[in-house]
Amino acid sequence: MDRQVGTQAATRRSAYLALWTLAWVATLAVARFDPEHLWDAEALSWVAVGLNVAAGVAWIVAHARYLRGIDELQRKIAQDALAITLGVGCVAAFAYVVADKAELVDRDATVAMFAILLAAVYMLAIAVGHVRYR
Amino acid sequence: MNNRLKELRADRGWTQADLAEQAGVSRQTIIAIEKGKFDPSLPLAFRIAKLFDARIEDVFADE
Repeated sequence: MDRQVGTQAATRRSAYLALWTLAWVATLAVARFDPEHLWDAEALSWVAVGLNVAAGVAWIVAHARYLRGIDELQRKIAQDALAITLGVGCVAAFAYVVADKAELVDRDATVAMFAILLAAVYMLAIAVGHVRYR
Repeated sequence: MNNRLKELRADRGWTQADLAEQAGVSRQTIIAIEKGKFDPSLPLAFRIAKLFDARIEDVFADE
C-alpha cells in the first residue's frame, strides 16, 4: 500500500516537473516573441516576463522535489547529467563570448540556441547514464 | 564493493523486481548493485541486509 502510494507520488512529481518545464518554455516563448506580434504596451511585456520568472521558480521547485523523490541511482544519474550540462554550458558560452569578442564568429547566437544546447546535452547525458548502469 | 545479492535473492526465490519493490528502489538500481556498477548508500545497504535477515557485512564486502 505504502509502496503504491510512493509510486503514485513519484509519478505525480514527474508530471509536475514536465508540466512546469512546458510552462516555463511556453511563457519564455510568449515573453520573447509576442511583444513583436501581439502587443506594444511595455506593461504587458513586464507581465509576460513576470509570468516567465514565476513559472521558472515553480520549475526549479518541481525539479528539486523530483530529485528528492527518485531513488539514489536515478539521482546520481540526474546529478551527473546536470553537472555535465553545467560544464558544457559554461564552456560553450564563454568560448562563444571570447570568439565573438575576437570577431571569429560571424553569426549571432541566440538564447534559444543555448537552451537547445543545454537540453540536448542533458538528455544525452541522462541516456548515457542509464546505459552505463544497465 | 562485492555483494551476495544475487545469491541471497536466488535462495529466497525473489526476482530483481521483488527485491527492488521491497527495498523501495528501482529495478535498475538493484541490477546496478548486483553487477557492482553502483555502490548503495549506507541506509540502502542496511535496508537490503535487513530484508535478507542478515548483517550488512554478510551481504556486502569491501573488494
